[in-house]
Amino acid sequence: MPKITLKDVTMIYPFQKVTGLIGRKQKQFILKQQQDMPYTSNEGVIALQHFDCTFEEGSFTVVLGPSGSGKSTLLRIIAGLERPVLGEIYFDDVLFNDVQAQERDVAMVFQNYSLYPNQTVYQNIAFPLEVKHIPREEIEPEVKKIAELLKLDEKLNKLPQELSGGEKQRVVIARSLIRKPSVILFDEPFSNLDVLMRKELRNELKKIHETYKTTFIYVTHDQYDALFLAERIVLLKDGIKQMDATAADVYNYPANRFCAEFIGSSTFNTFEDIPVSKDGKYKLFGQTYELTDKQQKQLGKEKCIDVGIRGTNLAIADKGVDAIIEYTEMIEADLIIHAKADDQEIIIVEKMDGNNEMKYMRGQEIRISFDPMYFHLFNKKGDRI
Amino acid sequence: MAKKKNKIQLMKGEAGFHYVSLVVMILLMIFCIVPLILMLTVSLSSEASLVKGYRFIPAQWSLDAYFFMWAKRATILRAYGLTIVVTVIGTIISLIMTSMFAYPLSRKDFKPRNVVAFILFFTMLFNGGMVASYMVWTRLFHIKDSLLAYLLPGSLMGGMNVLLVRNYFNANIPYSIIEAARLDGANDWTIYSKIMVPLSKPIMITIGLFSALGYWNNWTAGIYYINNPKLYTIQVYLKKLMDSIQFLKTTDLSNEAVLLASRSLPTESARMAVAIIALIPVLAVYPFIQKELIKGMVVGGVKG
Repeated sequence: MPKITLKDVTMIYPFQKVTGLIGRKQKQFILKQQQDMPYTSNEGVIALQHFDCTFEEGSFTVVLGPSGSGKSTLLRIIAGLERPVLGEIYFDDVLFNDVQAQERDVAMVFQNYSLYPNQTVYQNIAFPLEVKHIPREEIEPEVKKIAELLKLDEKLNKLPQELSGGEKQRVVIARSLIRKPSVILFDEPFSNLDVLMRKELRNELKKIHETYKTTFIYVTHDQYDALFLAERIVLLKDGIKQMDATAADVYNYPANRFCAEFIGSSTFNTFEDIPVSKDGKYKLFGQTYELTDKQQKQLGKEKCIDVGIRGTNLAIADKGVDAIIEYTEMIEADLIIHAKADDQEIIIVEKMDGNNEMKYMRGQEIRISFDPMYFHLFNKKGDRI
Repeated sequence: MAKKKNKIQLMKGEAGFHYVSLVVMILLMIFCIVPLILMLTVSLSSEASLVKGYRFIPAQWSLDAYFFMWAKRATILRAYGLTIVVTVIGTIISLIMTSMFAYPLSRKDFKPRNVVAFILFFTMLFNGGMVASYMVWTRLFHIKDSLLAYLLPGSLMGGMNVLLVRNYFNANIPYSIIEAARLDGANDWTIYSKIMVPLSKPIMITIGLFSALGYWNNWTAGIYYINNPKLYTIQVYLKKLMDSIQFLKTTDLSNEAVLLASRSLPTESARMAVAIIALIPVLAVYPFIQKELIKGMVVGGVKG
């Protein structure tokens, strides 16, 4: 299993040529539309910018980011389905830029399954071994073993269209595992599945990784997938790497405002443009807090900061900021309380104890306590200070 | 309890459209089927009764035309067999060549695909013309009086068919399947033969049928390149037969021998009988492939 290193990888998709029998005005409109897209250069749309990263052998890395952040491009470059315009890809210190996809020993699990519809489940799973001309008698036990592991042993004679979404994705995973590739790439594999199925497959995937110890690179926009699965998370935005750390570090010490808001996005509170005095003091809801010397240095001449705090780090207490509950929502064992204080929305996450919903009602006055220990402070560029 | 009628309820506007289309389709069907019936009844009429013109119900029934065919069975069977051989081989080669040409054109990573597609499209609009083609085929490829004359000129691969198959590949086979196969270690030949072709059954059947009909009905190649009667296909035989009948009709009938020959030959009915015989395989095969054929014909019409 190789270590994969990407150095200064940049990918630009050229602008689509506007040809055909259409009017000049329409042509100009389409060209302008393409050029107005975010992150373009003269040559085209930039999907990945100066990306450096190392994927250690046997690791489980999740590449996380919103749509259009360059996650899938990254996978396709590693797989050899795209060639970057700049930068190098090394598999165990060997330059792989010009190595064809079929020679890279990489498997990929696609979001839309990409099963061969004309072949049965058995044939689909056996396909990677068949193309290697491995004798049939050797293929059969391998297929049966992997089918048993992925609970597909009773579906081997079915065609893909006879399977449910979850079963289809299991077949794709089985097909990827059977030839024991050095790396398996997952391109948002569970996006088409319902919540329960996702949960089940997430658990199984974790177990499979522990059994096979193959290098897994998993791309998703779902923070829950990332936090559950990842040994390491690489956060991407607009083709630029934002953070590369363990799941706990990404959650607790986000590198910038984007990382803080993207992980735990629904319950992260950000209070913008908080003025900072010359001696490093700032006020939030009437309470005065102080920047450390290091934070003051990092802030430099800027006079404002953004203060962020997760809803899970806020508490309803006897003392604190006065607020009024606007509405509440239940997400599994959490009660999410949306309150308003000084015209600012604050989200608090309370653990359900059976009575929370009754305890907190719309229009109720509460007090919220802030613990500065959990504050995330950002300068105006969004970098953590 | 009264049985519920299992009938689709149509809205007011829909019902009108439904009935108008039904009438149009019935008329079209009549236009298609009437000549066929006429052909059959003429072949079953006596030659004398045809002097007054063609009739849907023969004035005088006769199997003379078929007896004449039976008498000529050796020639007709040879022509028939040859037509089947040419059609089967031609269609298979045509399908292989067309799909193999279409596959790289459907691949996004095949950079010169636009140039190749343009060259292909160019051949659909312009060609060397009949005289130049004849000279190339006879002087360079020496196909005169050989089976290749039926297979090669203008029939092996049509630009239109290639574009049809390419469009089918693009519209109906997700590109990620090809990428998955590449990552599974498959080379282009494996992807083409194990994935693309089996997944393209409707379009293969459609262009296969077009191509087969083209080979089956091809009489021009025989007229241009074949002099040896042993190499006549059924269509060429039919054409020659018609020419002979025309010859008998236009020749001065004062020659007694010719007069006798023309009287004893079932000319008009024989023409139709050969046409009926030539039609049988097409009529026999069509119902079995009709479903796939329709799927192939509406390629790109509906995206699944």
